[in-house]
Amino acid sequence: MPERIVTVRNPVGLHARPAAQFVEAARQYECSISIVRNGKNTNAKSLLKVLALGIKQNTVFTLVTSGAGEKEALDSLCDLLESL
Amino acid sequence: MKEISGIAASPGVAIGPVYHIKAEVFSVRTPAVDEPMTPEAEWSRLLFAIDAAHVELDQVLRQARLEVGDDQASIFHAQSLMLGDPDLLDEFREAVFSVKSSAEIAASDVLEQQKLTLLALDDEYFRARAADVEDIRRRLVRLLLGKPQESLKEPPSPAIVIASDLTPSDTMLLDKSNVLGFCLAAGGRTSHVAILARSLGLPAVVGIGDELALIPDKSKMIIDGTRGMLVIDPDTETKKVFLTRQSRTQQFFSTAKLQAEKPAITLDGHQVIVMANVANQADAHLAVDSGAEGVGLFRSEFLFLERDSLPGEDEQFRAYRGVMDTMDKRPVVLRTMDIGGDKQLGYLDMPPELNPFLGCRAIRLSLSRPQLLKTQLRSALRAGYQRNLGLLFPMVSLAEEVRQARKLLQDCQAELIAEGLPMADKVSIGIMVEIPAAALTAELLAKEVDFFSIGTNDLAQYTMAADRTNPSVNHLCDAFHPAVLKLIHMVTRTGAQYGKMVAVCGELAGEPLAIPILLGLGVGELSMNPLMVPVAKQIIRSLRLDKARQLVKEVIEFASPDQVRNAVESRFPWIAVW
Repeated sequence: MPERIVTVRNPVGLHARPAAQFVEAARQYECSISIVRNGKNTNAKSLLKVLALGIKQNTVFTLVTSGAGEKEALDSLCDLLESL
Repeated sequence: MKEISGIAASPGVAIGPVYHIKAEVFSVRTPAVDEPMTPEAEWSRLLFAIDAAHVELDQVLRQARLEVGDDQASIFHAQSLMLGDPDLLDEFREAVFSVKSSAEIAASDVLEQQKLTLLALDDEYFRARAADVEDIRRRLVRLLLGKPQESLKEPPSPAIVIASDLTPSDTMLLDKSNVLGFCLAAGGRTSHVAILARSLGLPAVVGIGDELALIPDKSKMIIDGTRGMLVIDPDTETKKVFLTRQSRTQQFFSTAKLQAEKPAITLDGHQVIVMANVANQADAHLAVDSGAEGVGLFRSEFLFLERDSLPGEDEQFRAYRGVMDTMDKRPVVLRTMDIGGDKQLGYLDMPPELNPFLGCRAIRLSLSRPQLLKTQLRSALRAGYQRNLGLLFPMVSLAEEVRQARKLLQDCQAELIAEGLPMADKVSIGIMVEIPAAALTAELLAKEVDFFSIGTNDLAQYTMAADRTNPSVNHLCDAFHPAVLKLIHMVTRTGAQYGKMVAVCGELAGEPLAIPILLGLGVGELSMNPLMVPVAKQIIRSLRLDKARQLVKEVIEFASPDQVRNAVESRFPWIAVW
């Protein structure tokens, strides 16, 4: 179960379009992907749950992947989060 | 004739009959079938409805792309993603199999819950997504009840549409060929309806409140999306004024929008800086989109209102940083909390005052509770790291107040250095000129500050000794009064003498008729409602500074505000139409 700490750079945070882009990318992978923040796990493939986190710019969280293609998923999703 | 005010959400003017639109309410508590069904059967009904909803959403998405472009249409793509949400599906399943709800009750309850979660977030942008969840909920319930997708009944002839609220798909699917403008009881400047209205070029006023429902169908109405105002049953005179404005504004505004990003330079070559007034990050996005050259007034007090306790340093930092980041390298002038007067904070234990507007307000309150101001200054300094930060102290009447505030600022800077926290390396300092005493002694204050910003609403209130919140005297609070203009002139003359920028950030700055006067008085920067920025720039481009100066020489000796307005209208008739 690889994991990495990421910081959201997008000035408006993970809302609307950036959130949709991220969730859509996450759904491309078979492995399970979660956002861990304040000790809570959130399914990164659920747009509603991701939005409900209210992630603003400079929010730090841990991204955890587990299952088929977990390493590749982690790399590409972290890259995406940095570039959003 | 009756006037109602609301939030100016999309500029422009429309005149026409009222047409009420009511979204159909689907009751989920009445079962669609007489026989109770098994959870398995309910589940397959729900899956079927979800599939059908996807098909419909694709259609809406295609139509939206054609009508408003990819950018605005992307909200329907997001809805489609929400509908395909794996967690949502689990919750539906749980409701159907464990709670034994019917498909429609399961869909409705689960989505209602999601909506509440989003509405509880503290950011306007996130809260606005609740409208998307409601849109999906209504779609699923309707499909489960076997009703076809019907667009709302469009007005049969040109009309102004009134609704309590509209979902994104309602707005999209509505046939807009007969829609002259939108009025909503709910909503804010960043709601979908506001955004769509702007991209369609239709005027909109939102956040009007429940009295909107009471306006009878077919009443004659004027909607002014530039000023955020409705006029019901206007008299002939008013109608004439607005009809002229309507035809002129449409043309003017489309030119203005095309040039929004360009600087505002008068015909004789003088540049005027046009900035936006904002209260939060959502406003800042609007400011950037409207071509504002910066934020001339960041009303930080909105962070302190409507809550039960003081926002801490980190919370303030995040709010300020959000605005600073959105504006990027552009200047942001943050006004320290303007609390007191008509803005009271229950949690601050402020003693009741007989005359709150003449009481412990703004900088007076901040200096009497230095810890409060220090927290705010620390947050602002941190948020200004690698950004362009200015600080503005409200309600200054004495040079000593500026010195005290500056001392606190220096203390904060020393603390942050000691703590090794990054912060703004250079901060410009200004004061609001709202009290006649400050204008009259501008010379003493000029030595203490980098810039002046004139708050015309309060300057008029204090000059005329008329409470602007008291309806029986607030007509006296008119910033066009020559007494107010003379005070502004004192500040601009002093500013020129000492090389300090003089800005105007009150409502007057976004008032088209006032623009030639302010320019003529020597004001170098105007800060206003973000939506007015393109218009103000275009007005500036249509003026000559020498003509504006000539105008000021005359009107400053006039006897009444109306005489001043009349003079501007006759001299610059193309502005008068706004």
